[in-house]
Amino acid sequence: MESRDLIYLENVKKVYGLGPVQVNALYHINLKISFGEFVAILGPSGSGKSTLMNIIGCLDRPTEGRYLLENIDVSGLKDEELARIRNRKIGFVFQMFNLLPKHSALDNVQLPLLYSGIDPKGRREKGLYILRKMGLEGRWHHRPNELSGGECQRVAIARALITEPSILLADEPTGNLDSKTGADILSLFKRLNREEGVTLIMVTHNPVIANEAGRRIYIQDGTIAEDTKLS
Amino acid sequence: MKFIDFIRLALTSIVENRIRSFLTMLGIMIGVGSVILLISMTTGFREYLVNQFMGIGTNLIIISPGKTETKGIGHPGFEGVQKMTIGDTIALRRHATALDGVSSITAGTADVRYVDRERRAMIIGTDEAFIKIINIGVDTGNFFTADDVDASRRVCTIGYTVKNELFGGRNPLGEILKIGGSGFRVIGIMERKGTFMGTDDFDDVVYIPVTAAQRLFNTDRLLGIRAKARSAAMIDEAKEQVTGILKKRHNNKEDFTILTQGSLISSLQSILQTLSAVLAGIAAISLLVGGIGIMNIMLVSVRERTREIGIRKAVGATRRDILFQFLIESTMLSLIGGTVGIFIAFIGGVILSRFLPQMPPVMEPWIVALATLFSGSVGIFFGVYPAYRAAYQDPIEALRYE
Repeated sequence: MESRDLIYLENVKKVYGLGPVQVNALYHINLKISFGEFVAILGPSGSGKSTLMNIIGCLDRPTEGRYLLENIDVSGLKDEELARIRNRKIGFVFQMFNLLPKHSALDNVQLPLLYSGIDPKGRREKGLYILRKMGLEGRWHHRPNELSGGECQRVAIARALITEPSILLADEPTGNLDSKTGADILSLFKRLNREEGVTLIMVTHNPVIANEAGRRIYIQDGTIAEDTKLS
Repeated sequence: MKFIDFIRLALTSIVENRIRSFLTMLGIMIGVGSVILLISMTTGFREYLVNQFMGIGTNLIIISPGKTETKGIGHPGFEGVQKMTIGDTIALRRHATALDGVSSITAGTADVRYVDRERRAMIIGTDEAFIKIINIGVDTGNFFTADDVDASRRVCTIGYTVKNELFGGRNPLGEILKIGGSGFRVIGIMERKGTFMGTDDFDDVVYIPVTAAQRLFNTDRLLGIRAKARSAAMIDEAKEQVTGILKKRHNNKEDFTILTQGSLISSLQSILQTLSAVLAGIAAISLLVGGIGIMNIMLVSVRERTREIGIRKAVGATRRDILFQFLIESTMLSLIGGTVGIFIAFIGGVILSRFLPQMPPVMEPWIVALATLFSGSVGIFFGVYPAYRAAYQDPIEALRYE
């Protein structure tokens, strides 16, 4: 086990259902991802890439095999411990943004800090700081329905980054945006990866976006069919 | 997550869904409001009754002919009427050391006429000890004396209503009243006493010496004897003495009933306590219905907020965090509802006391505390299941929920 690995998956298998209706979502996944990588995960729908993302994101546990995140075996952790890891080490960005519709941009961005036990003043300061960094300083009091798609996704990225996680997990982050806004968001991701050293794992269907990544993993029928490093 | 954060989260959510929150709280408001108001009303009524009973006099002992086994208020005179006479009164005065005053009572109604005005009034035949026993004084003139009683003089002391109705503005002292045909000289006017328990008008009464009354009603019996113990501590002793003395005079038969103010009040209290328990029970059912309403809304709310739960879990909320979020929300809902209910009961009490100035509802602190506690518990009890459902949502499915 190399200590510089951020993510280390060993013989990971995921089975849904019980008995005769079992579905093998993933099997024999062996994967290492290092700090600072920009990985694109591709594959047809139903290939198991979402399951893989959920396991990497600690939303789900593998049925078999081991998953080490920063050398911690998270495959056997309890729900409360997984929640803590999601809070501290993982930032999610979703295709549908998944912002709380009745809360302001600032409240949405602060949300993870609420579960880190940080006091309101600290939450607010950090939230405003990160919104400014995302170029949203004037929009902090707006609700998601008063923001454009691009702004919503920036809020979501700010929320994902606020706990300074080890990994940023993005699921089709540009899928709901027009191509220009999508390109802006993509360059924001690239900048974060290059300048801030954020490890980026992105699920996408878009080959243009996949071409920007440093590494492409192609999933098919629950296994890694192809793993290419571009640079 | 800190407790204060949960409170803030719950309040935000309640305010965001104002109308729904209000409708949810309504059941609790009505439940708590009616429980408190009903209990306050019976408490007020009880205090009123106790005051009325205390108002007649203190350490009062009521001796009536006839024996009832039942304790409390009965109609002792009705069954197998035994004779009770002025001789009994005299014996009690002489031998019962624990008594401070003993007075004979006989009563009836008769037509009372002054010149051309006539009125049917209550005639109470008693003696000079009466005003010492009953809390009532003479306003002007005098009450009759022992001498008047012994000589069965035809004198009377009249109540305020009788004075007003028959004499108007004129001074009745020295005038002759015709009671059942016989003339009685008015020697005094009683203080205004008002009504007792809303029925008998204490002022619509003419007091005459018991001896004269017995002649008027053509009887040698008494309706009863009123006595007063020397102190509250001596009431039991007084009862024993009265029993002993009267038994001796009545061929060793206990053919009389002794009621004390205390026993009257306590039997009234127990009746009213049962009444308030029944009323509170009925009102508690509405609180239960209110609780079910909260559960219903919380279940809808959990379903509606499935995605929110997913998002919260994805960014690091634990099951405990989600559980407490919903549990505290339902508890807050019912606590706020309960507080508003207390307020409604308070307003209702103020309004009611306008209509019932004699017996204003009394809101005791313990009932407010209990209602608060109860509404809080309703919120927790009916909030547990929805909160549990929320906490055990699978985050992946919750995030996918449309």
